[in-house]
Amino acid sequence: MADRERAQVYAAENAAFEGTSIESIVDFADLTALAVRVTSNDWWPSPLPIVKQARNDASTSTTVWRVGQPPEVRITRPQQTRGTLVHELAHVLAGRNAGHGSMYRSAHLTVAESALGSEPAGWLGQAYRDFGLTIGPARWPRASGAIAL
Amino acid sequence: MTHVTPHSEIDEATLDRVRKLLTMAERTDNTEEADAFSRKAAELIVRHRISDLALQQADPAELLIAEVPLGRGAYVRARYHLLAAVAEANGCIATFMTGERATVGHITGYRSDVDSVRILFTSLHQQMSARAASQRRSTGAATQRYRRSFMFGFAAEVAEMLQAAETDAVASHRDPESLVPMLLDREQRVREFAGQRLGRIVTARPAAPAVRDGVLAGRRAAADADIGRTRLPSRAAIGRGS
Repeated sequence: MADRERAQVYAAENAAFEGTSIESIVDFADLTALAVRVTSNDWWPSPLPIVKQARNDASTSTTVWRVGQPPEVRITRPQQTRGTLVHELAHVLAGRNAGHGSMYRSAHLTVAESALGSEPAGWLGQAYRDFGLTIGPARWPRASGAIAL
Repeated sequence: MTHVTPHSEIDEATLDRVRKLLTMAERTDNTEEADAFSRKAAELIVRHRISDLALQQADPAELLIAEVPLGRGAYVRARYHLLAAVAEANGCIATFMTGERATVGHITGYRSDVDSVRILFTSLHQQMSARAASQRRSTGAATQRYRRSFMFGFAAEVAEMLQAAETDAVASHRDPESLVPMLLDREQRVREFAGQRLGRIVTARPAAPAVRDGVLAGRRAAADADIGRTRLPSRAAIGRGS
């Protein structure tokens, strides 16, 4: 299935988070702790994802889906940032076939609010609006409060 | 952290002239007029920096670090490149720190140089942003990528031109052979001060790749500027975006 809005989503992320510590490299242990915090929410579906460092030769971070196994988030060292983790966890929350479409973006905002707080989530929502990207109906309760869309 | 105060060691008459020229460059709709104003302002700054008076007044007590907000978003690194270009050409060191909400640039140098950097950067940033804003592509993502590349190209060209302006100004000094060691000594003092105050400075991750066409377009836009090329008066200077 074509993932036509991927580039737009990446651009919106850059507009929202570049130049902030959300895109700074952090210890991997900090990322795993953050992942546990997000996926411990009552609204997070099971199975819980496995978060691990990608192989050294991997060029980009990914979420890998295998039948009968929990999804696996793999983060490369150059992308070892909170922004990358939030992006990949949103793939897990949105589901395998969501691509970077409107349902993915709804999940992205939910995870961003849970992991980063309402202000950065608001930056992301604003960036999506600026790029003309629609947000799908949320299937999950917001982590806290409401994100203005 | 020491912040720049409104007071400046540049003589006030020169500073007023520079500010007025840059304001006129930013306000006029006539590109040729804007070019001439910007070029003259840059010339004044470069010539003042290497004047005997400025060098003799290089008091270590006047070393400071000034903050320049660089914001957040896709163009932060390009803004920093422009700041670094202007800072280095004026004997200052540019660094940046990424915070929770935004990036802050730091300029380390002598007060008069730091003031010059702030004034010139503010004007050039406004002109770069205006020109980049006029660039559009088929999608929002493509436009953002192109504008970012455009700004990197603009900053790179400005860096080269400011360096050339300084080289010209040094060469036209009455005693360039004695001037160069003075400038090097001044730069060494700035480096030592930055090391003492900022601690360990690390090299940042490389910026994401830029689009070649955008970089070249930005270079062409800045090349029109001819900032500070004191010996090429017939060339155009940076004007407002159209």
